[in-house]
Amino acid sequence: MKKILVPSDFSDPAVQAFRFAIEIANQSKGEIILLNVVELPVMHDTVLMPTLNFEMEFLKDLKTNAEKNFNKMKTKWANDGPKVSSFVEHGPISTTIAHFAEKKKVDLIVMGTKGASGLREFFVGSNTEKIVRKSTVPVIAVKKFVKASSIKNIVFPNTLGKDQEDLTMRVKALQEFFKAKLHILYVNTPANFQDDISTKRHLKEFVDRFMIKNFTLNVFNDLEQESGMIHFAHEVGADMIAMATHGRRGLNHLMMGSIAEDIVNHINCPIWTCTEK
Amino acid sequence: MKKILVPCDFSAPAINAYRFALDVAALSNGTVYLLNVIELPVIPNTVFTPVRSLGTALRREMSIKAYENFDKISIRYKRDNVKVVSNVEFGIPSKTILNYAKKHSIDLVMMGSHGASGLKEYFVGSNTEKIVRLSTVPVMVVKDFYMGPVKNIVFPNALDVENQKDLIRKIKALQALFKAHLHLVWINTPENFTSDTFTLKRLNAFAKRFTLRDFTINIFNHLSEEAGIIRFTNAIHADLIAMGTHGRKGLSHIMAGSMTEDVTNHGKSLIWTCVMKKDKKQ
Repeated sequence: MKKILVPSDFSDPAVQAFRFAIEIANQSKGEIILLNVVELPVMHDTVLMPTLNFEMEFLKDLKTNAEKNFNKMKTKWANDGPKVSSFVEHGPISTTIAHFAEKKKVDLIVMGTKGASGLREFFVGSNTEKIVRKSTVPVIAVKKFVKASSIKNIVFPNTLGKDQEDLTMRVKALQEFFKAKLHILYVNTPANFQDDISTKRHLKEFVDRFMIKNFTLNVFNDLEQESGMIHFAHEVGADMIAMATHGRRGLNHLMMGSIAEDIVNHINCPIWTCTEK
Repeated sequence: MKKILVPCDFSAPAINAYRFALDVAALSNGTVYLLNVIELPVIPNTVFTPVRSLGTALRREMSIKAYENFDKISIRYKRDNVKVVSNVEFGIPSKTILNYAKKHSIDLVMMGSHGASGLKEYFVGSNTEKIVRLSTVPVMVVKDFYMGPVKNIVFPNALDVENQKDLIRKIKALQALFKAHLHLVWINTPENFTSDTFTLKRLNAFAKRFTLRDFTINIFNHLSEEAGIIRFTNAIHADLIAMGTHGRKGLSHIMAGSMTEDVTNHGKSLIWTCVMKKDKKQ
């Protein structure tokens, strides 16, 4: 977690995310890249709507403002901390962030999220949700600032399926970074029911296979995966949730839903997600 | 548990039941009633086979043999301070046993069981099954010789608070007699699925309502309730399963099945069952 991208719209959650990223960078001796993306309200460069002059002026103003805000942030929070560089780009927000992350070869994205609720989350989705789905590197969604040292209990929900090597190794590294206890969780649902004896055996095989240490094994029943994870996280007092996201794109997501994105909207502790390869 | 009836056909399971009855009677300062029921073959009166009833002499012979066997086992297995009363009766076993229990104000029936398997249990039923279903007092089923003390009792439950007062009272008495830990368990199945948040709330409320002491709360997932109860009991190395039965009668049992009876036939540990009585209206 040495090159951390922090997309920022200067909102409060974004500042919280920045502060959390500083905690990580301090510990990993890494650097932070701040990015503000200006989304222009109108489409431009088409036959019907060529780029208007006033848009360019507007854009320049936005960029100057952004730089000013970044400087304020750096001075306030990162004075005696890690290296922080800042950039302003324009374009559709989530796509720009994702491309920028790849271009700069970041290894982690830390983003603020207010959490959305109600129907909006089904039709529009939040930017954080989109990034969670599109990013090729892990994303930590942060609602409010917490100290890195306070992360002592990480919940790792798992379906105990195949092809988890990459994900599990990353979660292990995350656990080691925070020196936390890993609570491995299998959520049992009516649709995907497994008896306890089988589940306990699979859980045990899982920790043996990946040589996981300092862990607890848990089975939690709920009507859906999502609510099960949320309820369990509350019950065990999770400081962080680490989970895979399937990275489904486009309309598929709206129809079938994606668990990680929904979780991001309903939990208060930081949530680390990674697309399953 | 002061008057314990042990129906005895002198088979190994019956002897095991008798030996355990002695242990329980010792704890409760009770009396053990041994009862051997000799089943008379009934041949219907038809043109081809006129009735042939057993002569009185034959009956007397069988009685004497039974009492001899009783003497043998009470010499071999006895407990100081425990009174044993032996009797022989003729008739249909399950009916005779139940009548005897009523007549002598028995408060616990203790039976051996081989356990049934295959189709047999659906068409004939074992005697133990019948008693479990029809008895008005608790029935304990002993399979193999039970050695150690009863330290852990599993109480599988559906979590209704209706019609459980009588059952809980008896289970608490059982727990007190053995000075055992009580393990309340909800078996979660695909057909009867509740989320843990809900179940834990119900289990805790249940324990509070009936002022349970020295207990643990458990949720166990399994494909069927019956198998789940047995697996859970084995997993925690418990000694006894205590459960209520609805006492369904007649053919409906063969069709719908009854869980308590199935558990009785397939479990390995001790099983205590009791027909649930309706709560008295206040």
